[in-house]
Amino acid sequence: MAKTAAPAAEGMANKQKLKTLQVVQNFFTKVLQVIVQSRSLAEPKTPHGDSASKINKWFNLYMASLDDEGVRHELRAWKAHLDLTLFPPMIIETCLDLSQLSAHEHVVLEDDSKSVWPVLEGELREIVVERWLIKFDCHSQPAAQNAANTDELPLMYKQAIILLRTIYSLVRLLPSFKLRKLVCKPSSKNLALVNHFLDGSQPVTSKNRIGLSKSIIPQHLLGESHLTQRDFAPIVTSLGTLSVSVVYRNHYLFRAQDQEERLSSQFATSDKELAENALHRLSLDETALAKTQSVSSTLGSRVVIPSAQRQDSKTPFRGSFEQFRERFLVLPCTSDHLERLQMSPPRPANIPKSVGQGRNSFQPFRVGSIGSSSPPHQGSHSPAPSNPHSSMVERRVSITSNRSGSNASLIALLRNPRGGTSSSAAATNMNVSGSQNHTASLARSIASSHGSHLAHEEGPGEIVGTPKFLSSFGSRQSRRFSSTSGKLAGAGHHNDSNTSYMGTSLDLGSSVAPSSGIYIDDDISSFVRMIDGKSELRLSTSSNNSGSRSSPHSNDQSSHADALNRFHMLKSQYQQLGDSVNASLVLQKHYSSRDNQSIDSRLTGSKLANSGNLSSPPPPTISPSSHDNTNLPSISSRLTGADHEAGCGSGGSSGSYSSKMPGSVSHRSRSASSDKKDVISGPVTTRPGQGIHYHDVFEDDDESTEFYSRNRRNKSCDGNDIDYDNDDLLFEMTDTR
Amino acid sequence: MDIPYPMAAECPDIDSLIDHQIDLLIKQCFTSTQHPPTHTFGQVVVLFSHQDQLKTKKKTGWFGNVKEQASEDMVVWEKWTININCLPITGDIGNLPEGDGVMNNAERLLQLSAASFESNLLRILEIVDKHKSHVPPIVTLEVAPFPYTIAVTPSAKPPSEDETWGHLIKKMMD
Repeated sequence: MAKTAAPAAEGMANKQKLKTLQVVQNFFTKVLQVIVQSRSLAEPKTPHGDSASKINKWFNLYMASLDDEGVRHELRAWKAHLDLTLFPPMIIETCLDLSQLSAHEHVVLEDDSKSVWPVLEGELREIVVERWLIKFDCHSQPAAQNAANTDELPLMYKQAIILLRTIYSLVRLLPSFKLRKLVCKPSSKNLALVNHFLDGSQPVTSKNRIGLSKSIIPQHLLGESHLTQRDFAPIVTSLGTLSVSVVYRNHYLFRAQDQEERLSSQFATSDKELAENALHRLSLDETALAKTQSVSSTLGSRVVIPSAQRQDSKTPFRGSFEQFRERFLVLPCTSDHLERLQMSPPRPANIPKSVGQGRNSFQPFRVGSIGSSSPPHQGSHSPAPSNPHSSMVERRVSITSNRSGSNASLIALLRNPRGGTSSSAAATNMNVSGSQNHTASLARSIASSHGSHLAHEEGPGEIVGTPKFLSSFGSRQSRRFSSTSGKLAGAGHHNDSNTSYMGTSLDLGSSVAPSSGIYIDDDISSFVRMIDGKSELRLSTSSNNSGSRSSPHSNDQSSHADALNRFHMLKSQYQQLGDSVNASLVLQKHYSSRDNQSIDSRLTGSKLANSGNLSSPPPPTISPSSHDNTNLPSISSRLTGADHEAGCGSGGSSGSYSSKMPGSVSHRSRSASSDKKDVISGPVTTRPGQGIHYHDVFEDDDESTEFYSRNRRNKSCDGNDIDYDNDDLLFEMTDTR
Repeated sequence: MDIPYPMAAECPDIDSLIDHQIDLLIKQCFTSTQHPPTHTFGQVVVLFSHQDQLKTKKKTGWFGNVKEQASEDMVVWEKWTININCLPITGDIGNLPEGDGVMNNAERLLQLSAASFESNLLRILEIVDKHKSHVPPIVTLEVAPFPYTIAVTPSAKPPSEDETWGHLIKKMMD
C-alpha cells in the first residue's frame, strides 16, 4: 500500500508540478501580453470583436492572444522549459527607439519644471524607459509538497488572478503608457516604443543605448532618484516563488526636436531670464534711469539713450537669437567719441537696454557672492546732485566690478541655460555684462572726448574685449577707471585736470587691456576667451559672435570649471585693483607728479611703483569701493583730500594686490569674497574722525556710501594680512597728513 | 480625465448599477443648497461578501429531500470606503496650488481631481496587491465572482482617510 501510495503520490506531485508549470508559463505569457499590448503594440480596435483571434482566458482576464510573430518567438524560449527549476527570469524592456530619427533631430526630455534636457545620443539608438522582471524562484520543499500541492494550485491561481489584474491596471498608469500616447501622436513621428525580451539569467548590457541607470536629467537637480521601483507581492508556492517587479523612469516627456528649435528655445529661455531680471531691476531703479539720462546729455554722447526708450524696451522678450546676442555682446556706444575705438558695430537699440539693464543690475549683485556692491548702489541712488554723472559712472563702475561674478554666472548660464541655480544670477550678470560693456564704452567715449592718446590704446583693447565676456574682463579695469575718470570728467567737464584723469584712467584701462599684456590680462583674457569660446560653442550654430575673438577654447567642462574658479579669484583681484587704481587716479588730480607711469606700474602689478609716496601698499580702500560706484567717488575723494600718499597707498595696495595676484590667488579670493565687507579704507573705519574730516574735504562724498564703507570696514575679516598692512600704512600716511 | 482605468466590458448590469448609485450619491450629497457652495463630502461603500459555506444548513425535507438552504448570512470579507470630496468650481479655492495662469479655476480643479483619482487608483492597486489572502477562493469564471453591494452614505463631516475613488473600479475588476 505504501508502495502504491508512494508512486501515486508521486504521480500526483508530478501532476501538480506540471500544472504549476503550466500556470507559471501562462502567467509569464499573460504578463508579457499585458505589457506588450499596452506598450508597443497598437491598441486592439475591438477587444472581443475579432473572432479569429483567440482569446486568452487565463487568469480570468480575457485578452486577445498575441498575434505578433516576434513576440511568440520570444516566448518560445520560456514555453520550451519544462522544468521549473530551469525557468529563466523574463525581462521585458520598454525602450524608446531612436533609430527612426532624422539626422538633424535630437531627442529632449522635459522634466517637471518644464526644463528641457537634451539626450546625448551619438551612437545610441534606444533609451530604456522601463524594465519588467518576472521570475520564478525555484525552491522546492519536498516535505510539504504533497500536502500543499492539492490546495495550493487554486490558491496560487487565485493570487495570480489578482496579481495579473493589478498589473493590468497599473501598466496603464505608469509613465511609459503616457509616453506611448505621446509617441502615437502624429507629431512625434520618428519615435517609437519597442519591447525587448531578454533572458534574465544573462547579464543585461546597455550597449548602444541609454540604460535605465543613466539619468538624463542631471542628478543634482533632481531631489530624488530618476527611477521608481515597484515590487508586486510574490506568490509563494511550495515549488517556488513567483514575483514580478518593475523599474521605470519618472520622466517620460521625450520628444524629438530639430536643432534650430532647441537652440531657439535656449535663447528664449535665456532671453526670458534676462528680461525678467531686467524688468525687476528696471522697476527698482527708476532714479538711476533718470540720472543716466541726465548724464548722457551732459556727456553729449549718444551712448545713453533716454530712459524712455529704454523703458520701452523693458520687455524685450523677442526670444530670438538676435536678442540673445545683444545681451551677451558688448554693446558699443554710438557716441561720436567712440569712432576711434573701433568697437563692434554700434547698436543704438541695444544700448538703452543694456544701460537699463546695467542700471538695474544693481539689485542682482546684491545676491550671492557678486552682490557686494548692491547696498552701496542703493545708497548711490541719491548721490550728490552735483554729480549725477558721477553717480551714473559709479554705478557703472560697480557694474564692472561685479562683472566678474556676472561673467562667471554667465558662463554657468551658458553651460546650462536651464540650470536653476545659476540661471537667475547668470541672467542678472548677463544684463550686467551688457551694461558693463556699455559702461565701458561710455567711459571710453568720455576718455576719447578728451582726446587722450590713451584712447587709442583702449580701443584695441576694447575691441578685443568687445564681444561678450572678453570685453567685460579685459576692459574691466579700463572701464572702471575710465568711468571713474569719466565721472571726474563729468563733474568737471571742462576741467583741465580731468584730462589728466582721463589720461590716467585710460592708462589704467589700457594697462589692463588684453593687448597690453598685463599679467592680469593674461589671466583674464585667457579666461575670458575661454568663456567666450564656451558661449560661442553654445550659440555658435546661429550666433555670429564674429566680433569676439574668443579663441576656440575647448568646451571641456572641467576646463570651464577651472576657468570659473580662476575667474572668481581674479574677480576679486580685479576689483581691488580697480579700486586702488581709481583711488590713485583721484590722487593724480592733486599730484601731477603722479604720472601715468606710476599708475601703469601699479596696473601692471609688477610692483606698485613706489614712487614717492607710493611706497607702501596702501590699504585696499579702493577695492571695496570698486564694487560700489557710490563708494568709489567718496573713497577716491577721501584719498584725494586726505593725502596723495593715501591715494598712492591705495594704489600701492592695489599694486601690491596685483603683484600678489598671480601668486596668491587664494588670498585674493579670500579678500575678494569679503571684499565688500572687509577691505575698506582704513581711515574710514578706524578713524571716524578722520573719515569725517575727509568727508568735509570732499565735496562729492556721499554720506551714505561712506557710512557703508565704514561699516564694511568694520566687518573686515581678519584673515587678510595685506589688508592690515595696508590699513596700517594708510593710517600712517594719513597721519602724516 | 485621460486616466486609464480598467472597466468590465459588456456588463450592462454592473454599469447600470454603478450609474444608479452615482446618481444617488450626487443627489444625496452634492446638491448644493448652500450659497456660496462649500465643500461637500460623500461616501460610497462597496462590500464584497460571499456565502459562508459553513453556515449552510441542510434541511431535511419531510419526504427525504435534502435541500441545501443557503444561509441568509453573507459574510462580508471586504469593505471599501470611498470618500468623495466635491470641489465647487465657483467659490474660494484659496488653497489650490497656483496653476500656469492659463487655466481657469475649473480646469485647475479638474486637474486636481484627476491627480487625486490617479493617486487613489494606485493606492487601491497597492492595497489589492498586498492583501490577497483574505479573498475567498474564486471558483467561477464570471466577471464578478463575488456578490457585491454598493451603498451611498451621506456624510457631513470630512473624512479622515483618503479618498478611494477607484473602489468602484476594483469592484468592476472582480
